[in-house]
Amino acid sequence: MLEVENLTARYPRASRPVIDGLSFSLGEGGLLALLGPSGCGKTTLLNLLAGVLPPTGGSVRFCGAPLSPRDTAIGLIPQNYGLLPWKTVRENCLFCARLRGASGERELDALCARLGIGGLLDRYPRELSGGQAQRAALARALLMKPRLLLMDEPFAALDAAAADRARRLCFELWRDSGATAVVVTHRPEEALYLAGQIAVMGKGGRFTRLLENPWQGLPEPGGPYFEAFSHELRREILLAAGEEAAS
Amino acid sequence: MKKTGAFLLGFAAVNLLWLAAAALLDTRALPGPAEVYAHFGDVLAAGVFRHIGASLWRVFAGLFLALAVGVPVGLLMAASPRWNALLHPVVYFSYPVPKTALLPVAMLLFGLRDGSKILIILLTVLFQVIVATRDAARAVDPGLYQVAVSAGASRGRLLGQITLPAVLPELFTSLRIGVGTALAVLFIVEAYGTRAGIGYYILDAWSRIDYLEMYGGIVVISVVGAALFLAVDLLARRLCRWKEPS
Repeated sequence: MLEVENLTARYPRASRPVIDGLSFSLGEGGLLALLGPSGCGKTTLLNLLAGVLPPTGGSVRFCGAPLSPRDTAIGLIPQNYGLLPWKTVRENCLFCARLRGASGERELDALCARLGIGGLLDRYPRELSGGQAQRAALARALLMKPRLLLMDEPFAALDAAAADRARRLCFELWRDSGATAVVVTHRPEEALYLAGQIAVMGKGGRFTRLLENPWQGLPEPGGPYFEAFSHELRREILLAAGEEAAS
Repeated sequence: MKKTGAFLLGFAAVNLLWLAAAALLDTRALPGPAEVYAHFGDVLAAGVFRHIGASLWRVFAGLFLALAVGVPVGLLMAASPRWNALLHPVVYFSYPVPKTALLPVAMLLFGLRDGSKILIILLTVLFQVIVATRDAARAVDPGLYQVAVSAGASRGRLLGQITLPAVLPELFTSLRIGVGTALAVLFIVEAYGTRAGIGYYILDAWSRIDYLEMYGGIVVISVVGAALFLAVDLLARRLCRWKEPS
């Protein structure tokens, strides 16, 4: 279980904290989607969970122990995918796996074939399209067998059709991996498909809403209850954005 | 093939300009290229390769030391705001100082032999290596580090697998500039305390008013410079293959 307690983060010289006393928990193997307006602290929260940003206060625990990249395999996919330009897709994927002490060679071909990038293993990132780079980043994260998977707007750079395909593939692979996951997204439909829990972040990096989503993994649920839920979610995001603008 | 053609075209263009200038000025101080090339046997007979060897040793030693000092200092400045605040003014005040003006101090500290010559080459190249390394290291996408840190990478891995490969293209650019500057500085540092070096060879021919031999030496230094540029280009292309458009 991922347990976040009273988490606070403040950038130097900032007048107020980006994340201010945030607490939540996420069951093992669960997926939480973070929605909210730009600049509300979603990426900062992801970086705190990834262990790349030290918190100013509070704690993050995973399976009862303080979360540390040394002890827990954390697969991070940043907004621009973070592929090393001087390594091929193969080398990029194996780089993180080897950091965790796994060779990864055996699983790499099967995983990349499933992701549809089996023929691109010897290409450099600059030779990939946005969708291919996104799948390469996903392969890199999954190859290290992460216990915690963190994705920052993984489908934002893709067109609607490619994003839809990538979303479904990502969901399947995440479910098979058994990893606990947090996804930052701007798109409510993405959150509704991917996540079992949806959080809307507002001013000061606090959750304005934390909802259980009964439609996880259902591509087009439809129906009046879904419409009402979806409408409520969009309204909550607009309120959070308004709160941000007013502050 | 295309590059060789462009290279030969450039060589021909320089020679044409030279020919035009020699014809226009019509003075013994600027003989034409044909005359100089016809006299080139004397340049070879004067042991020009020994001079090239002595100059290359000084250039390589200076460049190696500039990299050995400049890269760590640049990386330190990029990694630590405190060190950057401390060293930034030192680098910026020292960068524009003509390093050859420090020759008396270099001679005082390291004598008239290779030590002072290498020190001047080192100082000439050092600051551009520091600035290029610092700026390139600062420009690395933080996402690259974030992925590696969250996967448990040590500081050593971050340096070896991310920072160094990321600064390599900029380092090669500064090395290219450094090679040109180092060769230009040779002319001054080989004016004293030595009887070997291509700078010495040119100055010696000049002092004997042997213009044909002097221009022969200038042709040699320009060919050596071009060969060094090509070697750096080749190395850069090999080590930074990921930058090359397919």
